Amino acid sequence: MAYRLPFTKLLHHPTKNLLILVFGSQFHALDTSTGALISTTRTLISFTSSTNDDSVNNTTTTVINNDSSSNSIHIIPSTNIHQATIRTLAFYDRVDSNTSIPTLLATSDENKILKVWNCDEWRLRNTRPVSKRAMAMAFNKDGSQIIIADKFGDVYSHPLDPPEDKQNASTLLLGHVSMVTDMVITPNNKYVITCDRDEHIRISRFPKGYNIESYCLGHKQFVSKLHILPWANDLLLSAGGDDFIALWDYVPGKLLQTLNIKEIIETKENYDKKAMNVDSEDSIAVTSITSSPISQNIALTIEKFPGILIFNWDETEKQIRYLQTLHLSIDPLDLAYDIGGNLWVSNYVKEEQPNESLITVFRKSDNKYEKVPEDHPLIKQINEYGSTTVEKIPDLYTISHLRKNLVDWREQDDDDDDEQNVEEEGKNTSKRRKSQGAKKNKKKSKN
Amino acid sequence: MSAKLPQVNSFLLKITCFWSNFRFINNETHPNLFQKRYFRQRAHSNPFSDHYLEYPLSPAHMDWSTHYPKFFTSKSDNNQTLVTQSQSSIQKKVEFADLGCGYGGLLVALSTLFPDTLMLGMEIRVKVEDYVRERINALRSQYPEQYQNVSIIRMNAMKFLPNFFEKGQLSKMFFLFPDPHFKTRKHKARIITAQLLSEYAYVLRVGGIIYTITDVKDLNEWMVKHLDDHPLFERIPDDEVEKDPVIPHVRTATEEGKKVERNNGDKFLACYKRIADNDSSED
Repeated sequence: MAYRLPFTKLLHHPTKNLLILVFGSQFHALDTSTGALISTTRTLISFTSSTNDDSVNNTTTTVINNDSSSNSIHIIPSTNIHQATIRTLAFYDRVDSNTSIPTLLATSDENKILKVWNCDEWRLRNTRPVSKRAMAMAFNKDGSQIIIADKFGDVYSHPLDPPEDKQNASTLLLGHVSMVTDMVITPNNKYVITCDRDEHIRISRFPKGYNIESYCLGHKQFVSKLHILPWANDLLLSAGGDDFIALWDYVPGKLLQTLNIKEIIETKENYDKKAMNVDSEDSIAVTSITSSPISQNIALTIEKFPGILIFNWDETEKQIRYLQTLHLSIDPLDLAYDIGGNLWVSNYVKEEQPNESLITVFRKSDNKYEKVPEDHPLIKQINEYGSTTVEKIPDLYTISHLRKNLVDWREQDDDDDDEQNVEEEGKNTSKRRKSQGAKKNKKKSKN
Repeated sequence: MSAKLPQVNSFLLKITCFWSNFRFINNETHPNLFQKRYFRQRAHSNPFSDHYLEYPLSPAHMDWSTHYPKFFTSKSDNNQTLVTQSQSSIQKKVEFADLGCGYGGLLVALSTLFPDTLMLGMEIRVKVEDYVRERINALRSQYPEQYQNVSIIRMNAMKFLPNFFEKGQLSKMFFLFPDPHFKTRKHKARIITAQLLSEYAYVLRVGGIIYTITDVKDLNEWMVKHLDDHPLFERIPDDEVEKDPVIPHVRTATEEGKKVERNNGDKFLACYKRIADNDSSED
């Protein structure tokens, strides 16, 4: 049985018609104005759903010939590609024409390999190992440094090209005693903002990360996503395991607004609770936030929720307002706005629905989102080419695992030599400000 | 490796013979004071675990009235007495923090020396926290007008310091005889690291002081190296350090300090001042 691997991450270039779609250890690059594939790390195979009725696995594979439609596609040699699942990626966008650095893409994988790609010629620029798994990445303003927040809570700055003599030329900017889950560098390049599993959002000076400017405190659960509003660069949106999303004036660390998204999906949308296991209180896990500077709309996805929440911006009140929900038949994994304000969504197509589209696009016209038909040229090619085939579709719900539980992420490689008895403590209902999953030291040698 | 081993042993030994100090407290103060032997706990705690802790959403959410009833009125009484409350609540803030305060010897010693300064001990081990709380309660009932300015909280200071203290709120931070975490792979669990110093610099005002003392030379070198390397701290010269009235207590007031003394161990002191970032407008 072979299934198409869903696209786990979508990243759109801020100024070009260029969308990266990550699947496993590979990626495609798509022109979002035409729907044409620009580049890929995989030899192209098209999936044609056979007309056979016993559906499940009747996809036939055809290697695309070098015909007119595809001979402009850059195929990245397989020797250059990642060997493990790509976890995070970032674009470098040339802001002014003075710099000689082209458009770059950085990708990093599960095996702690960082690769930098030249997106003008679609070739590998460099590859190097990093010491810890990356959770978030960003380029600095002139593209000379890649900033990486790792799973162990530290943020390091790596030079764009690794020096030949020394393997590791990274410098430590800052660190949390917690897993850093997301990081952004402010558009003015003055601050680096990091958030962690322990509810904190930290604003540090950039590149002098040792100087903490402020904290944005108010989350009661892990924070998983940070998003600076492109039209109001001093404002930050944050979301994670809380029922609400928060809007901050981040330099002074001031909370401006909270907006309850759980209420929206429960009441306004009359959403079937069972589908999302809403019986437990801790159900919200925000997987992505993105926005379109053209429409000033914000789009947000929640784990195991088959829809996209759309918010708009109230310029006079400087607040965000709920606009609508775009319904999907499948849970979204990630989403991205293109530069025309159309919304690209990757679907978590599972074994049961093998013929569903991997990508859905909502076109923005006259203030309305319209779902693009499946045979539309924008998505036809990508849905036909698909991704790659796997025997089993992996569990791609990763965000809700950030909620505090009994197994601590640090302990996995911590030999706790002096044994502790882990004593289970009934999971508390997170109403109070408590770390969940108590771990109590029980004195072993006590007499 | 072989060089490290004796140190480990001596550290563990120190812990296991804690009970021997108790008589001391007993005789010195009051027969009813709680005996430490009932509050013994292993000396280590994994700071990276998800401990069961209670902490405020932010410093503004903290209700200090349970800790310092003579200085704060309860937050729940606020509604009736808004005006007086706002007056009284601006006046006092915790200024001294003892991170990993252990059995609270320093807090007790400094309490009478700085009767108007609020001090908070932070300790991650449950039983040790219980002990210190009982100790403070006993002192408060024995000397009704004293020891109102000290308190203890069970906390992982490596994670949640900014939940308790605003930027620049503290004037002194104490790191006295911290867990040495001897193994190289455990060094990241040490309470002084390059990353954590940035958090300490955040809660400490410019001019505020970090006090560190240890009997483990290796740890002293580690702390000195990281503090020296941090752009927001500057070492206070030894002669100046000795003029500081808290230094004798830093050396001898803690239970650890007394123990080192009894064993004729060395004590390595290093104090640093929080300085402003040299090329930015700050504070």
